[in-house]
Amino acid sequence: MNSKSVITLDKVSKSYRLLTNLSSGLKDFVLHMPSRIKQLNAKRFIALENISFEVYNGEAFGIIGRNGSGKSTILKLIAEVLKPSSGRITVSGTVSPLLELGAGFHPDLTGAENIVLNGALLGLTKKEIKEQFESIVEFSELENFIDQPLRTYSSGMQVRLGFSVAVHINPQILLVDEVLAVGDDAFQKKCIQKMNEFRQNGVSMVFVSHDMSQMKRMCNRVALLQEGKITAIGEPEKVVERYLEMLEVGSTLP
Amino acid sequence: MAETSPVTKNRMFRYYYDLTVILVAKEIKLRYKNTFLGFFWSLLNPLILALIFHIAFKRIMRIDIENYTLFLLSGLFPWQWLSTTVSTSPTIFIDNASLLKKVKFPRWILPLSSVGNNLFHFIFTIPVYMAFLLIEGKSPNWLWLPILPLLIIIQFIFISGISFFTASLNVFFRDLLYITHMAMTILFYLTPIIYSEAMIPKDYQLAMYANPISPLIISWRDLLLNNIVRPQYILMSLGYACLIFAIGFALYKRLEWKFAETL
Repeated sequence: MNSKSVITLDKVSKSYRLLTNLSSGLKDFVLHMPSRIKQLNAKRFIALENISFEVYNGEAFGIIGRNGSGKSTILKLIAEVLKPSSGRITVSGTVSPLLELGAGFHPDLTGAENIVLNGALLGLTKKEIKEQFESIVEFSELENFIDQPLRTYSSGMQVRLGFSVAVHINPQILLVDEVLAVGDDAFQKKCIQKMNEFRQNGVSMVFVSHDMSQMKRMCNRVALLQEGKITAIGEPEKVVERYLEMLEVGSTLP
Repeated sequence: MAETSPVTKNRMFRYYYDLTVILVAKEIKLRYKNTFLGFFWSLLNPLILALIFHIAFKRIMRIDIENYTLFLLSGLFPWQWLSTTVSTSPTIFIDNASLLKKVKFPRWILPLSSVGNNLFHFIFTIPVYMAFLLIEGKSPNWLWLPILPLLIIIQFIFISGISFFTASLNVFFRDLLYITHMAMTILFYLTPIIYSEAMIPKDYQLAMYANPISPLIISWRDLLLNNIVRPQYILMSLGYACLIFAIGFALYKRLEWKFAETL
């Protein structure tokens, strides 16, 4: 593995305004303008604080932590869906976010129509979708249903289709958020096989998962996130162990 | 951003174009899926409207304007393109919240494809209008060839500008949806659609020009009904269209990055 970094987070912080006041509407806002603006700026929620790490070419990087610790926020920042409040993020290469499989899927469109729609939203041109189409359908194992509307699919079939499109956009970086737990055993095996194939081809991955054994098996390095800060980073075994200890301490508290 | 080579730039434009076409096609497909008549509805809707006007204004309620059915339709069809797009525009980003939160794609394509989708339906009104034109013993002249596409382009820019504005702002101020609906109703009567600009009293002429939609509707009627072009109205509508687009797009650019965290 060469050590060229493909993702760099440099002192990244992300905070949100709490929008409780705005949702009460324009009238309320205009009537209480000065105090409302003051409230807007005062109430901030800090999701991530001073996060720095690098992901190298071909590396599988895991992020663990409790619910609400900021894992998904990091993935969204790397996917460039969110903008950091401060700090810098550099990402080089096509990112395939397996954050939401089947983005834009519509139940009334056929599987084939949804492949085109989803592929376009993930960044493919019509020509590229056409070139990949056969292979997408084949991978999803939905040949017999591809001209049926999506609403007739089971949820497992929908995920298979979404996953199949997502892995066919030739990503250099793959963001994976708990999606490997879908489909039947046979399809899961196929997914893991595809992941390994990606890794051999030098695709970098960022994983978020609560499945610790999977994290240890798949990742080169793992970072532990606690309330928006990285408290440990390095060897999967050690970081996972520390996380489990942390959970135990937490659960013995009243 | 890294510098882009001509090849990747070409691919980018190709991609934007493809995505817009795919999104427009999706809306049109969805609209007529599971209907017997399918695309024919796009033709049937304006046809029925025109027939009703024809019966109402020719036989029942006689109005002192020559060819009132044609007069009305020449303003109403373009207006409908505008009003249907604008009244749905505030929810464009809200309706696609899950997409905006999870996937990175050029968001400005959403308002544009909505304008394009409604343009598709507007195009179908033109043959209907022409049929009624022929019934009345009139016919289009050569001016239609260059001016019709020009007016479509101007109106496309115009509606896109409004859509960018309302779609972006409504993410933060949901009241805008209701304000927009009310504004469209008021604007309908403030714009010379059911009456002609000549009927407006002298004192109010200036106020009419302050309504950015008026010059455009006047230009449509000039062309569709009278086969003429008055450059001052075309220039005025182009000016308004560019101004509104600039304001709308600037607002969109300012607010865009906050969509994902607000929705």
